[in-house]
Amino acid sequence: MFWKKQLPLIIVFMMGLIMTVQYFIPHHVSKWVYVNYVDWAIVIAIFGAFLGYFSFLRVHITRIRKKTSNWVFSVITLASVLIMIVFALIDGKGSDSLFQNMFLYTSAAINATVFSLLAFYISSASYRAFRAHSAQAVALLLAAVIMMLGRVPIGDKISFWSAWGIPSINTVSQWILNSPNMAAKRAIALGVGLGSLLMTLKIILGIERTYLGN
Amino acid sequence: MTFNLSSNIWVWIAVFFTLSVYSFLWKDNPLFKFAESVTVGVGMGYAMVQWFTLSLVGRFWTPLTTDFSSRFHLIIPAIMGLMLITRIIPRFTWLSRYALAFTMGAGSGFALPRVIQAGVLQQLYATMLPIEFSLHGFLYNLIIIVGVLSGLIYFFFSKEHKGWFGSIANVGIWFLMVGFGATFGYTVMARLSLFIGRVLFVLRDALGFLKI
Amino acid sequence: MRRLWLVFVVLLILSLLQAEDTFPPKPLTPNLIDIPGDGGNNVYISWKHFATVPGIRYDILRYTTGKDYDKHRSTDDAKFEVITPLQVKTQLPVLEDELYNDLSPYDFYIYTQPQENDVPKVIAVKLTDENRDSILALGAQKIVRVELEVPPREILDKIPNIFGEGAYYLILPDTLIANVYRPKSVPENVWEFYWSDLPYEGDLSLELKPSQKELDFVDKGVQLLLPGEIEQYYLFKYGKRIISLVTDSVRYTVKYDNISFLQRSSEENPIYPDSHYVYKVCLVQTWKPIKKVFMDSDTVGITPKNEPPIIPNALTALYDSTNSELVLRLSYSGFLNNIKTLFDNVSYSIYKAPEGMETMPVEEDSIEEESTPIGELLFKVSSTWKAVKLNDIKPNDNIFLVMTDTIGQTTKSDFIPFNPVTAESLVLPPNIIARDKGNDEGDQAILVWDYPELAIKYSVENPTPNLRTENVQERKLYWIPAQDGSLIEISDTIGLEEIPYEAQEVVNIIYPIPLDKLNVRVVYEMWSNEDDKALYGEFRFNDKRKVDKEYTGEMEFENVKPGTYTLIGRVVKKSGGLLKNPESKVEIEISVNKISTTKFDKPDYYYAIYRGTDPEDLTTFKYVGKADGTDREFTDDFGDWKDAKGEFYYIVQVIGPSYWVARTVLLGPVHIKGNWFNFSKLPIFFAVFIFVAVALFFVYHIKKGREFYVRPIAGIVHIDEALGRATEMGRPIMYVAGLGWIGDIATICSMTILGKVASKAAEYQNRLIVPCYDPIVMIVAQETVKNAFMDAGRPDLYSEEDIYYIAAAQFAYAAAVSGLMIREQTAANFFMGRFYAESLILAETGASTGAIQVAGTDDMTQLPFFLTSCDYTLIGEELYAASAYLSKDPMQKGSLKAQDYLKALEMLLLIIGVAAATSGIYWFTNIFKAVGTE
Repeated sequence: MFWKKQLPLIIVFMMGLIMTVQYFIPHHVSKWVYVNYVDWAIVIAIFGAFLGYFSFLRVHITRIRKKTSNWVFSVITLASVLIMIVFALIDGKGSDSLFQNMFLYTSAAINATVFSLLAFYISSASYRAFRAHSAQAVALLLAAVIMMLGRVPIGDKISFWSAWGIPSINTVSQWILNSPNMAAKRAIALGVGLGSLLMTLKIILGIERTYLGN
Repeated sequence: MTFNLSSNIWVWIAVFFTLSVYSFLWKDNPLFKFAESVTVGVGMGYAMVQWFTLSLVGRFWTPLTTDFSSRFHLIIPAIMGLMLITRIIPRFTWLSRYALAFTMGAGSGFALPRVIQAGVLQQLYATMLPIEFSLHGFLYNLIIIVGVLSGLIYFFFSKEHKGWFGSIANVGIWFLMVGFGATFGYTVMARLSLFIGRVLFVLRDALGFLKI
Repeated sequence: MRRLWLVFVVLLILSLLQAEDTFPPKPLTPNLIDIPGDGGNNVYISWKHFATVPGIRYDILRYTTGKDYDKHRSTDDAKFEVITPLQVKTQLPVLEDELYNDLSPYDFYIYTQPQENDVPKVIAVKLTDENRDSILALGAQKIVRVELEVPPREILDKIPNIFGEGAYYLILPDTLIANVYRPKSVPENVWEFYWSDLPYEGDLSLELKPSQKELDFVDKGVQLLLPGEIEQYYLFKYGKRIISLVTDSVRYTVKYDNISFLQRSSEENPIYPDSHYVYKVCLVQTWKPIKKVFMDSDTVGITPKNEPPIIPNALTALYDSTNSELVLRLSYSGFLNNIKTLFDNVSYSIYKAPEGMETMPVEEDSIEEESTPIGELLFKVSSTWKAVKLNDIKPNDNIFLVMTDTIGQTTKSDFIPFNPVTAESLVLPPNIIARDKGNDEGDQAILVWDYPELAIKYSVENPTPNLRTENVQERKLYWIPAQDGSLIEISDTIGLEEIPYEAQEVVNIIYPIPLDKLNVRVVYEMWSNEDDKALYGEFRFNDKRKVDKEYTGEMEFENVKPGTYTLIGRVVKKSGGLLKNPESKVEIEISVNKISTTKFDKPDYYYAIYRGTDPEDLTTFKYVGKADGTDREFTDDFGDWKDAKGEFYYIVQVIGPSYWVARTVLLGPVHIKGNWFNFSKLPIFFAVFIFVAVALFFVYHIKKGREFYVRPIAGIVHIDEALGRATEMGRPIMYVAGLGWIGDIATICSMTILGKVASKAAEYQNRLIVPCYDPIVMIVAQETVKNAFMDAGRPDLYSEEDIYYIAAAQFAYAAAVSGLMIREQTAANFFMGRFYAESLILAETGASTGAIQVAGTDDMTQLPFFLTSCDYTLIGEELYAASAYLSKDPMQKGSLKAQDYLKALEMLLLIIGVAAATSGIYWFTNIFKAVGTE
């Protein structure tokens, strides 16, 4: 029990205390601790990454073996992995190598396109917001529309009322951004700050142990 | 109008995948599945190669072997990393806890003072605005102060949101909603420009409409 | 058999691809220079890179008996090793269809002249009746067009390419450019003579038109000219740099950049003096997707030498006869100034020759260790010194300089001629001290001096532009855009012919005229050091008081009526009080009658700071940096605390505008040490203490088993509903934990909620899919779900294949998870944790499948998307609260209570802070001011 439970919690507490105290000590000994902590964390993460690759390969190999639906695409996935490794072996990974080109013109291009799907999704999300029933959702929508118009030149052009001294859309959108939006951001940040504080404290004290898996 | 088709085969591969991804908007189909498998596979292959060369060799093996006398201690996190990998064998799963304990303990200790500095003190400082008795002062400083206070009230969990307390919390949620709306609206244009970027890629890089 | 054919065809294609390339050329004219005056361990290599040469990089190679440097090269090359790759920016190919580059209607001809060790010279001439025969006899060919951009590869390959020298410009007589009215901003001093009664001080706008001379030039039509053959002004205005001149059969490329690289001796590639090295340059370019082309230049050799020191070429001696003081300025100029950091100089010794010696005896530069020059040693300093001052020098003394380098080589200067001056009165920095810098790791010293001071400039502006245009054409004024600009008025004494070629005729002048209410903009700088605890600038103007808490350095006073006002600027201390010293208060008169600006009155001297280890030996004092006359402190950063052990002394020189020098006394000794507490973080320390104490109290207080109310959180209440519906429909549940790593608070909370979702799923016997992005989060998720299934008594339902690592890149993850949602037809989706831009892709795809969606994140930028696309959303702190709420541990619930009390504390501090800020008490808010994070 000690080895499986207490000792890990003792390690958590000790490391938490050391790193908290480290923040306040500028001495080079403290700096040394900090630099080495960063190195250590990186090395642990490097080994951890292996688990991810293992899981990934296992899932796809299982799918192929069991011939589950869409197993062909698992073959393509694994083949792509293999091609990248082979390319790296035969041509290196310098700029303009097969490895880099393969990444740039397939994966990076696809990822950029997936990212650009957001243009459509943000439209459908806007539509969803339009059908909102509650008054608060209407407030959200209204702020969003003013913000949108305020970001494009047309916002000022259609603000014919600004001639009578009433603030134009751009002015209003600037105000929303810097005033109520700022307030909302800060309220969330303050709450999140406290929540994080409590959570780190709970971890250091061993109250929060979810991450240890029990 | 002049075409100048790209002679670079890679560009055409990228065009194919770009269109394949957009076909997902119509419905899930084999072309999208293909693109998805390729990006997952190529991305994973890329990550694996970079992981091996830059991380495992570059950040661990080379420093350890070239400068053993001062970097020998890297063996300790390496052992912890290996303990993490023992998870593959169910009997030794508990060994991985040491690595997690180290990472989480140090990570939390690292975060604690920084959370207080950036998440609490800095936010408080930025909100401690003077109340000015002018329109500008009302529209900005006062609104921010009221918004932050009522927003904080909304996040009270151990007190029922009823009576005056509930009304203030209600004001808070209104502020949050307007804030979310602003963030939403602010992002829309940026997202649309992503799509324009892809269209330009197809038209300019592949089809070679030079004057765009 | 069929396969054999296939292999053959592939090989054939490959070999054809290899054979076709003769272009690009090898890198041309590589040239090596041994840096003079150095220790023989620097080599400078340069070559010409022509604009039409397509390449992705150049490799610089050096002959060495060692490793293979590139497996693509043949074995002959194996002994050359890449010193460095240099990326080159090749110009993008552009197809030109403008007509102006078609030169066939004009009679321009081209021929080349060979040059030794260089590319040929390209000569373009316009054929006239006189030169026709002689030019054609040289074999000149007619130029059909010029290229101002790099054409695409297909066009480049059509005809042979010749690379030559000739910086030709195509002069285009664009009358449109010539005739446009150009607005031009003009310094005020020019105008005072003409319109001293303007209601305005400051830069004016002019509208100009070209002079007759320029119009005559334009009338000459198309020309091909070299820079020397044309006035600069016309060259820039009408000329376009030509990349290639093209005849029917040859392209002459004349535009190139000199690419160069300075190789300094390093551990991997050492350079030793008197060793011979052979270099070459290799052009690497890509042609077609997968093929690389390498082109090597000719090889060049060099034997770097450790030369004796070079005497500063800007060495001057300023002599003040009244005080018998001599200032020697020890500096380089021009090319030597650029390479002075490569010199291996050690020290300057200044000697006075014995009386009667009229000239310096001619002597070879000697390498002997102690070749004492004849004369009296007056001064010896390290070679980093910028200037030295000598006392008691007689006007007829002969002073000379001896420099020594690392291996003891010396160089003697001639007698330095005296330049009589009157000494500037320089003020040494008052109160200067050198000490260890606090709150550091032990690698910094600090020098502080002088009193805090405010420097102010201001401008009077119209709130809205109110410009007046005045036509002055009848005065025949010409504006000459020389360095300071000047005006010429055509009169009887100055004729039209005498005005310079670039003069422009003034048509209009434009200036602002003041409104009845103006804005005054005050810009200030605060000069202080850390000991002053000076903080803000505070200003009083026209009964208004403003404090610049945001450090914008400027403030505006609006709607000021014309008149004369006093502006009082003062420095506010960190504690909130005002500084008492007289320099910290500034009073200036501001006349708000005309639109005007003022400038800062900044000191024109600077400080040179030297650090040494032996107070007796000035050669140990090395230059460590300079501080402006406006600075009040200098931090000497050693870089590494190990170098900062021992005793250090400082000397500060004040160097005036005419290079006169004053020197402080020796400062120090300074002992540098590391500190064990950073006092600038004291407020954070106390905050940690208080917040942690309050939190601990409540966490452990509640442990004793007191139940309390927790308000319902929408997202959590509906977990059951979502799972129930998924079970009814017989479709799986998806749980997405975001992109965070396990150290993210949101991810940890997500894992707790996952535990809850998993146990419900086990209860309903439903399938749970958890696609992961981070390996460690994956193992924690596996463990959490496994335990939940075990606790629910259904370990048989747990499948590790459903909780897996799905992708290693953000949008690959988004694509894969979206595909999964659609293919698996998940009926309930949970998005809990840290999300970035992919949030909307996931949430919208999920929404389109009709699944019930519950989301939670602490990131303000992603929350709106979840709010619009999901059924329930946990906003920020609610996510954390949900995780505590779901936990059975009483201490977790106690933490919720603690969180609320801390929130109340925050609100209290906020209200006090607002009250303090409103009443102008700064010290309270300043406690919260964040110190920099490292």
